[in-house]
Amino acid sequence: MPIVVITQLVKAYGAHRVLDRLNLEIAAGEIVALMGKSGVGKTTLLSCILGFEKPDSGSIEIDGYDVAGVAIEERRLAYVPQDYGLFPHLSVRDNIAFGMTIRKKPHTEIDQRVQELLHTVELPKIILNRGVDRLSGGERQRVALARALAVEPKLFLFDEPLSAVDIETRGEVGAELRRNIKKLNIPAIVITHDPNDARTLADTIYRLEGGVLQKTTIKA
Amino acid sequence: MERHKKQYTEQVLTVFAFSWIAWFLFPILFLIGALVFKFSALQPIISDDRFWWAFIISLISAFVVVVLTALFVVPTAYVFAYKEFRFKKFLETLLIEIPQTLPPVAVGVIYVFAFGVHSPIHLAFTFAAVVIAKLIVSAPFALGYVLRKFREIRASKIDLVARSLGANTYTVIFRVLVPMARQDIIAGLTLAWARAMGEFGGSLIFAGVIAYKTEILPTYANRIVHTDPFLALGATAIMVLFSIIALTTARIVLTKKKI
Repeated sequence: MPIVVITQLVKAYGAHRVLDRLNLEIAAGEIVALMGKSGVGKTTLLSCILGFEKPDSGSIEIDGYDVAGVAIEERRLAYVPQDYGLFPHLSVRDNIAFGMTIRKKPHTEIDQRVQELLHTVELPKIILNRGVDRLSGGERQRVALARALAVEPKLFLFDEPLSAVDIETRGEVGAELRRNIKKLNIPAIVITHDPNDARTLADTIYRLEGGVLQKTTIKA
Repeated sequence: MERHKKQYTEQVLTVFAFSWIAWFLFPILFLIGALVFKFSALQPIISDDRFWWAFIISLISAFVVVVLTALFVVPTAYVFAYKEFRFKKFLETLLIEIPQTLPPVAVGVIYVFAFGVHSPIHLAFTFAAVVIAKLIVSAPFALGYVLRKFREIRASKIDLVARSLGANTYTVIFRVLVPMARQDIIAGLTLAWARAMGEFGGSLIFAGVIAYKTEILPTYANRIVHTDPFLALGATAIMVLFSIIALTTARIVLTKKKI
């Protein structure tokens, strides 16, 4: 039973159909990489899934529900941009708690949940009061995951997650990210332009071309 | 030969740069020098209550300008950073660049016609006129700073993360954009305040120079500069002092920031 089902999605700008009856299914816990040249429509597809752009036709179902007309803040998606997008003005604790704080959950509940999440992503408690500018790359990644998990997302959306990582450690960081996502058993879409990153991270790789997705394999 | 040429270039560059610096330092050094040698000239200022009124009207009107700017700058910057609408580029220039380069006389003349004696809304030669004349030349600094920072945040997509975590527009603005842009907002408002303190042309024409009512430090100094130059110099010293304090504060706030 797939968690994400995208059917016959069309999005055009003027006469140009960026997405042309695009289909995609993602199973529970599956990591899917979307590749393609810049300007080919990866961002458009991402924006449609997130809810920033309205598709012209077709449907997006997440966990059995059509999300058309559902605002982004109600879609329960975890968007993670390049460099993880931690809030620089908040501590680790407040970053992780963000989704619960804005839902006005009681303090004790938030604190307990933050502790659980730290445990899940294997971060030490001592890190909680630190500013996010004092974290290592690996710690930043885990904080971003914990923050996303706090709102129990149905789907992760990673936007070029490794492009800010230097080339020497890229494979290692990618493998760790994959391990972490897999452990959570939440499906993920990874947008990337780098074939190596796609191979490190994903179970299935698609290439976006001519408005549709083609399954592809990348040789080492 | 090659090395010699390089040294020569360096020397020429230095001479140019330092001549430029000297030219801009001159008024401030002159002011300090004049005050040091003629400190007694400040005496009449302290006992001139018309001066103190001008000082207080300057302070209060600049403060009102900052409050109004603070109230409008965040929503306006948000709209310009996130919404697409017709003539956006032009309107942005109208709100930021044009007021900064507009001849102050023009501002005064336009307002006198719009809100003068022949207009149904009569504001000319009132305290409100001082505020209005100051607002148009001061607020653009703050908007420029805040808009640039909001665009930077938008490009980093951190606001998108907040939305995907469940934040609506209100929450994005007050929990992400404003705290992240805090230093830029403070710096922008400080500059707006400094500009408001120094505004002259628009106030002169639109608000006039009415003692104890619309006379501000610049118009006070202008009125007496030829009849009582030392009094004018004293008033100038206070304005310069305030603007240096404001600019230094803005600079410290901006360099301190980590974000």
